[in-house]
Amino acid sequence: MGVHLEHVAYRSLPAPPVPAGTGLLRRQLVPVRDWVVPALPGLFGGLPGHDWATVGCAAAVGARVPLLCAELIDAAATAGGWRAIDAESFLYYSPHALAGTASVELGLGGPTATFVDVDPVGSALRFAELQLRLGHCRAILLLGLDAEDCAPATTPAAVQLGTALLTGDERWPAVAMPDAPVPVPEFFDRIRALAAA
Amino acid sequence: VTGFPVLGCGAVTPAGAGVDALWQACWDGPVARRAVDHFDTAGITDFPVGLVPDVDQLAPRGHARRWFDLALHAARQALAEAAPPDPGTAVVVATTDHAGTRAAGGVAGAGPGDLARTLGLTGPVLVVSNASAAGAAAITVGLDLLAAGAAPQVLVVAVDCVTRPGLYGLVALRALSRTGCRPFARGRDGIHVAEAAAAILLGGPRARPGDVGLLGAWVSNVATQLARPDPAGVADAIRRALDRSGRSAADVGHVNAHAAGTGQGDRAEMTALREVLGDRLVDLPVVSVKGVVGHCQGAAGVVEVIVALRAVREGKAPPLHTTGEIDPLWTEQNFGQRPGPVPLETALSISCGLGGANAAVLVGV
Repeated sequence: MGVHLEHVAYRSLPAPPVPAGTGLLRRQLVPVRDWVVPALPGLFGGLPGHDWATVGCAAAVGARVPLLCAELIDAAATAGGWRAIDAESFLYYSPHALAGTASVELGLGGPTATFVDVDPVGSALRFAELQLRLGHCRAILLLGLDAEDCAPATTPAAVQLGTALLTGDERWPAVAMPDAPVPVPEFFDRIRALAAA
Repeated sequence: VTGFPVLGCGAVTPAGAGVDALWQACWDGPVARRAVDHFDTAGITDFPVGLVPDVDQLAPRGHARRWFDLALHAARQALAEAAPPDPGTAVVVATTDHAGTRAAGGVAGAGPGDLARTLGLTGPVLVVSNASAAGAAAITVGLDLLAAGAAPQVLVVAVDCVTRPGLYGLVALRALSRTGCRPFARGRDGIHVAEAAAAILLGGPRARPGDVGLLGAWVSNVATQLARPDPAGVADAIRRALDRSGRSAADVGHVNAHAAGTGQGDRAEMTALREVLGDRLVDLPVVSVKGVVGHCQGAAGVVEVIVALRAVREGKAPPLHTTGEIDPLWTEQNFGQRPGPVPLETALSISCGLGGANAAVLVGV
């Protein structure tokens, strides 16, 4: 059994400029909370109807995103100690905040894992394929998040966010496992082309 | 026979290097917390942490290679217990704050992929980051790979250091305790974080009944908010792990709880355990490793499964170590001060994490 693409949506989210001075210190911008969460309804709104309690989640988070979070929190600590860190920001420090947010918003009940570092896309696809093959859920929501590389402690101009619904249903196009690690935006370009065809 | 054999284990924790040191500490009591000395802790000096004592072959704390060296040390211990691994062995790494380590300055050749190459393993490498449930999540992914025949063996390596953004952020979140982790105690007020690495080498299907192994596991994110575990979500993970293991609640003889020592978290976990295990819970030994070595972050799940494995192998569970009186909610609960009602042949290990992650691993014969 392979994985098949039932739905895909993708957005590049412009990052708002970082406020100068104490604005940054009192409320750190973190990618998932400030850029991704507001965009999720638009992406999820296009998803086909499902019993979300039977759907799992595989999140692929590019290396730049957690590094950016760490740099922002560390910069705030340097500037003003722990009181300068917005507690709510830290809830979104972990790469798992993306899958956690999606799970809470949609009520996902299936197996859920977040993959980072070496090959997050390949790992998330492998996880999805395993869950479908082993019959642990009827579909997997694939989430992809990445940001362009930029200088340390500098926010990127945009982050890229993608969602795809993967099933074992062969009526939909099959998704090929990449031969080598592929960046999150490039992978979503590929499967968007697949869906369009 | 269900489940998969554990071919080797390794650990580097505040108790020292090796599984024996960890196991002994679980009997002896809490390992002393220490002041952070590898980054500036201005304003938070009253939050000591768990640090690995001086061990050969480890880069100093704060060095960019520390994360890698901890992982390599634990992995080599696990591999040394077994026959040479199949070269196609998959490596599943668990970490929740590798970025915090790298934010202090990265170093080439010291990432998860480099770990597999250094060990001579050419199978797939996956890096799992389900917050504090990452270790147990990685075990679940490893069991899935084996169950699907996607890898001949799986090496699970879980590792995290104490990082500056992590420590300051947890203080801001009011998640850290000045007095240390006090699971299930009245007035418990948070965790103390620790650096650690732990590794488990998993093999093919178990050859014979009686082998102690991992029977099954589950990871999901059934939650209503990001900040604390939902009892229904924890209960769901336990039930699913039991289902995958082909076991029932009546088979569980011991619980190695997540029990981080937070007010809401410990309560949610005990509510979930009561929901699944019913009236049996009060007599089952429920313990927490975090009261001994602290919260090992992404490594916690693997550290705790290793302790549960040892408990089943030796047929005895270590006692709970906490400070002060037990919360009046659980004064009747067996926290390891007496044997359980059934032979200790099956143990349940639970992990929870920020974001609503829940995982359960069943260990047994």
